[in-house]
Amino acid sequence: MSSRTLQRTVSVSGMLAWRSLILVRRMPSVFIPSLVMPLFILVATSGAFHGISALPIGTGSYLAFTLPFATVMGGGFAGINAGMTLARDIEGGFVDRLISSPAPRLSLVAGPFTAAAMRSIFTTTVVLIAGTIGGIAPPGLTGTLAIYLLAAFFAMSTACWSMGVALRARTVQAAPLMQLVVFVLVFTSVAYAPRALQTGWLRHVADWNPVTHILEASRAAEFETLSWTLLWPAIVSIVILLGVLGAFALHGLSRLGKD
Amino acid sequence: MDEAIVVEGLEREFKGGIRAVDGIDLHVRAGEVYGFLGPNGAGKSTTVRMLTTLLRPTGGTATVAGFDVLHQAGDVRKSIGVALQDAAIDPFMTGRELLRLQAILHAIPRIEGHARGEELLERVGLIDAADRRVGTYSGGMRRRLDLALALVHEPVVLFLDEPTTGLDPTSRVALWEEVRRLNKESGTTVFLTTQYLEEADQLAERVGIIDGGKIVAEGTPAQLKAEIGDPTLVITPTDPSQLEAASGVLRTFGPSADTKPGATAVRLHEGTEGIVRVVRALDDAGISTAGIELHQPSLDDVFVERTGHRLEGDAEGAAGGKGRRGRKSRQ
Repeated sequence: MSSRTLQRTVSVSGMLAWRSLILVRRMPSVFIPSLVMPLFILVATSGAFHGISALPIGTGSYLAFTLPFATVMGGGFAGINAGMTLARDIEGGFVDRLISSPAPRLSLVAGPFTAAAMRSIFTTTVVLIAGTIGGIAPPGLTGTLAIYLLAAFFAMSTACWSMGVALRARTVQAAPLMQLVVFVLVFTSVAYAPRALQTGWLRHVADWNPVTHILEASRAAEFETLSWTLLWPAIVSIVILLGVLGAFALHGLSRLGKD
Repeated sequence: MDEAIVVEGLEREFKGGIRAVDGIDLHVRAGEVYGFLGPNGAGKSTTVRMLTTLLRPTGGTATVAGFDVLHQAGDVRKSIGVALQDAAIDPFMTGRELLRLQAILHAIPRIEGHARGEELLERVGLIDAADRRVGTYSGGMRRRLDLALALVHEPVVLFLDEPTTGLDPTSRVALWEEVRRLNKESGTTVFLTTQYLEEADQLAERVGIIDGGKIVAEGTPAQLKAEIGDPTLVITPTDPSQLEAASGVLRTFGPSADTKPGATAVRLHEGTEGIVRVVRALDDAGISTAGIELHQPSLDDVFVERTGHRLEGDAEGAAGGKGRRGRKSRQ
């Protein structure tokens, strides 16, 4: 990619990301559920599974245990939202306006991809504030930064997945498929219980599930016990997710106009 | 560049073997307004999608502004403005924001893009509504904004896909005026698809008629109408029992033509000069008339002649007071 094309891609992606973000304000009905759901996860699971805190989960508070689940899931919702917006734009013909212009096609996914990361920052902030109100001591600067970054990278990964689905299905009716895979991935990880407490097939799935490593690193960041041993599996998981799902989205993009 | 659009044997076949466009040839001169007329499903939009690089052809070749749509798609996109059917405009953005987005899509520097956007908003009469969300715009306002968006980068060729479908007559005429002005002042080539005969007649210097994915006629509206020949005179006798007698009189002036119930019609070989002689002949035969109508050949007649059926969309447009002028349906 030439420097001029790169500059154009950044410029158009920035504009499309800005558009996605102003839609948050103008179409709150789409954004509010993706903000409320992480808070609901935080409150509902900490209430329902309060008793688990008696088990060795690494902390005496299930609210503290579940907070990274809420921030990562918030990132997941932001990513799903990117796919749903793209599907709506394809159905409504707005994407035709973009691809009939000389703008680099890559920006069509790079814009919502960036917006998903930015939305996750907002959701993470709200969840961290809710956690603080709930009595969880906020982590230090490094820990907080790691929580934000892990949620943002998960948002970007799920954005790639949901945009890949949107580019193939080309209808917002594919939204349940976008959500289903993200939910399955998160719920079969260490979202509700640490690996030490999991047995059988669920444990095997959790071991191989990339979300497990992202959540474990996020929890360690929250408890300020993040070490290289926990960080590198999270980085590898993110690289794999972004690589595979990014390729899935870009392949879908390359198919536009060929079918 | 003498020819803005050159299409040879262009084809598009979809999955399941459906041939939406079946080997069409088109030559649109630079600076011309070309009307692409056809009913719903004839292949108009598929053709436009191929010419605007939104859809890959499955056969044939096409160049727009001198660039091949398949191999020089980037250059084609820089040269064209596109206003697609149904004005695909984000309803949550304002007119001004959309113009800014469009300027960025075309890599127009910020200050220049802003100035161009303001100029276009003024031109299409949307300056007062520029900061309102597009969702609050009327259909006519959306179409005018769509036109402004297509013109941000001063394209060489402008594609308008059914630009007035669903508009009220006033908005339709206003858009026609804008297209005429644009073509006259800047010499932009306009490729206009429509299912409205009057629109093609009013705007286009040349018309291509497409049906079933094939071009069935092409030429200036005057040439195409001339191919049909004589005007049609429709007589409605005051006394319906004299209908047969009136038909007998008319047959002496030319061949019969189809018309509405309770009336009889003839293709006048003598042209409009023959009307007086027909009226005299009817008078001599003691036939009084409740109505006399003269119909010049229209593009509708051309369409019927070439395809064997009428344009559905135009009939709908006419029923809604938006269709062609001065000609009644003879179905």
